[in-house]
Amino acid sequence: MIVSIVFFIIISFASGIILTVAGKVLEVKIDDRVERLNECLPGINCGACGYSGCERYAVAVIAGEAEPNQCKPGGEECVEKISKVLGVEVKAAEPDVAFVHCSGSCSVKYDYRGTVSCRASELYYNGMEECRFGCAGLGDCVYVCPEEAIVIKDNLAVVIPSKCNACGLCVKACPKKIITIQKARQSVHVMCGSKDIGKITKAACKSGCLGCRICEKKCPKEAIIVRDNCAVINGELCDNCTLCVSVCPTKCIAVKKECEAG
Amino acid sequence: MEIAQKMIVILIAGVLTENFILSKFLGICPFLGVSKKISSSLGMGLAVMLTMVFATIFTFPIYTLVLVPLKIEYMSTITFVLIIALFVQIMEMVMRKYIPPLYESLGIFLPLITTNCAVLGVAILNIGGDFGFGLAIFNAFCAGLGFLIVMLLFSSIRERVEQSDIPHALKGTPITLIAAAIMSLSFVGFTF
Repeated sequence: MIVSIVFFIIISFASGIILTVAGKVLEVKIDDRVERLNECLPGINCGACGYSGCERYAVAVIAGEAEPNQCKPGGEECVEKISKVLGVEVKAAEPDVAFVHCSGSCSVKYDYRGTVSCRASELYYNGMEECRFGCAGLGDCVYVCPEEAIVIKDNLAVVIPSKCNACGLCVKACPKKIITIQKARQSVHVMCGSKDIGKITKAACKSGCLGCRICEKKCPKEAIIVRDNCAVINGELCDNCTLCVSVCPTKCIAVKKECEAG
Repeated sequence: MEIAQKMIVILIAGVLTENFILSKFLGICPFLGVSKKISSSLGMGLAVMLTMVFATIFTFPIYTLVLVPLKIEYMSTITFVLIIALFVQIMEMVMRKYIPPLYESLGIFLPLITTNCAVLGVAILNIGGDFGFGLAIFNAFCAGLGFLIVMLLFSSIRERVEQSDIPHALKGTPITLIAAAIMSLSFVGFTF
């Protein structure tokens, strides 16, 4: 009995001493800024910054691989803390919001009465909307949104910019791929995401983008590019001059004001 | 000659008939947890093999030279746990210092090995069998080799299962467990 107790005390002490010595001898210096930076981040590991978690992002920032303002959920508060840790002035990234590229004005092919899910309705002939890029309005994006920033209004998903934190979950959830992340200060939007040629789009919807390139030619900032038969506004260049709104023949480019909830 | 015969028996037992994972059901946790990719299962298998060999090198002499003379053989389990944990910790530190890429890729597995029952199992089974020091180390090596082979086989099965068309209800863990069961059956077949 006593032998075993003594033996165990001795072997435990020996292990402890060996580990302590090994820890000192084999010490690896880690940049302590990583830990301090990690404390500034929200710690929810959402992946919006493009790294697999908050800690990975902190390591990348210290290594200089990532910009210090890529954390979207953290917002300005987080950027302020990071700039304190890094000791440099970091400008907050311009806020982004999600936007649904559809005006919701297309007719319906058939009466859908299945599961209330955009993905389910998509399985039946690309959804019940005449246009295969039309918002089904069944709310897959509403379901995934952690901030409750999307509402369905007249069978059309509408993002409430004041609540949106641009996490991009709705972009992934939308089976039609008509939600994108835009700059929040941009007020002019293309209300169509149809990648079909003009003839098909026109047959399905009276206010779809036909890909006529008038806006592309008229834009003074060269901020509009027609890609895959659909106009896309580059938020970096756009200065909200609304010239494109006036020239668009189908009125699918529009000025969107902040949508009130409900 | 006799030694060679014994070694062949140990080799076949360790790898096939008394495989640690599929016949003794030790080390199931890494078997299911780290077998998604061939590369990670290879890393885990090699790490376990290495730990098994070194754990035997440390525990066997302590048992025969300290525990047996003091007549406190019943302390073997707790002593072995301590020694294995100590060894894995030191191994982790050495890797972190001198081979960072290996540390990065093994990072999560190393602490897992500390509490891996397969490693403790090898240490305890070695002192139970009538092995000498050399044969005990060889036995640990063979057990590790068996572990590595099964990990590799199973991860390659899983990689193929991932890509095949499986019923929705069976996707993920259920199909993995079914595959493990069928594989275990085939290894149990070696004993008869």
